[in-house]
Amino acid sequence: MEVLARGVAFLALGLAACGAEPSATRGPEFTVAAAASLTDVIDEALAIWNEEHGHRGRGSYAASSTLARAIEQGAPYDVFISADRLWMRHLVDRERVETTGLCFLARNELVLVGSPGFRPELDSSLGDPPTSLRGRRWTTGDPEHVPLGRYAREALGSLGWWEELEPELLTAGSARAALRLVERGEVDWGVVYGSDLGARQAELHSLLVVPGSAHLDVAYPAATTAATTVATTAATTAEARAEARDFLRWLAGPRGRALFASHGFQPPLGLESL
Amino acid sequence: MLGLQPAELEALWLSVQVSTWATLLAALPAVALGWLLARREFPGRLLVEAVVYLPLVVTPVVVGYVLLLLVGRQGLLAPLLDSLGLELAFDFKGAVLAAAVIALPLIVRSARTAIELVDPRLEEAAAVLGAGPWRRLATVTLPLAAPGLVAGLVLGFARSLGEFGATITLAGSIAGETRTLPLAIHNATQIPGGEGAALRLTLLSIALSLAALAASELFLRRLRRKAADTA
Repeated sequence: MEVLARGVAFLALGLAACGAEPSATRGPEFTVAAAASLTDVIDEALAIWNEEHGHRGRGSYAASSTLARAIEQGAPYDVFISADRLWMRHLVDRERVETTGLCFLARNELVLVGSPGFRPELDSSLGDPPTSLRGRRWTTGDPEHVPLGRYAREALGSLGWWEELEPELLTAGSARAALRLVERGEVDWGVVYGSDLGARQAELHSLLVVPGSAHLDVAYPAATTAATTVATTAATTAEARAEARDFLRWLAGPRGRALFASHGFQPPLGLESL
Repeated sequence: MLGLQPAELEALWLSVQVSTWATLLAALPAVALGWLLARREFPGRLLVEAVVYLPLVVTPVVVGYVLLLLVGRQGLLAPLLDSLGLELAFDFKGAVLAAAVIALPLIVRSARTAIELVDPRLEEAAAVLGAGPWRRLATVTLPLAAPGLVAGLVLGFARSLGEFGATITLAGSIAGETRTLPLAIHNATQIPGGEGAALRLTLLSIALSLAALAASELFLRRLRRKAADTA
């Protein structure tokens, strides 16, 4: 029944999205391409920004790898916010982002969550995966390219759990897709971001916050994209990019910081580098 | 061969396996439905027709999602599947089911047309000679409809090879289990540096589909020749 209700809500959402065509009379339009785990916080940030500035910034969310690939191919995105350093570096190396405004917006944690109804006690002897997790289907991002999966592989690897658990891994195409699989109960548990757990603590059960020492810190680098000279479409207008730069500065400032905190992210240390 | 990577060969082999199983799974119900729609009037016929042909017109993502609502771990049929020890969603068997449901209407259409073209008087003649309904079906109707049935099966097989939307929704994209050629291509296009793999897999999938169509054409020709010989 609940599944059905969700299905109906899903339909309604789709209809609402169709109706929300923005009017063409306002300021320049810019697009923020952000890691899927930032969906809620960037949506809220853009809503506030658009309200206050009368502009039309919008978000596009997917796995950081997918977005990096799209930007490489000339997608008209003005800001790129990655969930790891790798894909930002990938674009820096190809001169597809402006390094001048590059900054780190937030940090995140990795959490082991149980699907609704799966709440085992984890025996905490390090080195072996807990017996309650063995043979259970689980999910995280695709470790081949999705940042969440890369962090998770590193973390479970350093705990000595990866090899034994990997055969039961159902890889997801983005952090949000992984979260969805856990929420729907298609898997018993998953490794997701701490921020994703925040609003869903009622249904999802945090089994373990993965020690930060077990993996490279989850940090979100952000940059505006470079005016392109490659043969692909001249991506965006200078006006939109200027607007995007202002938005990014605002997002890195105190108000953006507060937004990230309210969505369960940690502030950057200020020492991060690519 | 084309410098294919192991993961790409795996996707190719998986595609062939999924499509074969899907075609086999859909074959019997599809031919039965084709016969039913061609030969029988019954209440609710229009409804059956609509439901059977729906996957042809609705987006495969919807087919996949409906299947997920039915056979997912929290789906309506989950208790039944649990008691049978069957796991379909995000599993090889789920990929087969998705492809079979998508291929079914194509096979039904061909089967129905083929059976409609069999002269009912031949069946009546067989009945007069004392053949029962199963014998008439096995010795008259199906042999005469065979070329159309085979064409339908090959079409269903080819459609299964190309299945994407329903598969990714119901079965996900698990390497070696549900990541068939179309999903592997999609995956490659999502990753920076995936151009080479995407191109190789694209060529491979075109070649495979052409081979399937050529095979069906050869088969049909042979059948026609045989029919001409016996006539």
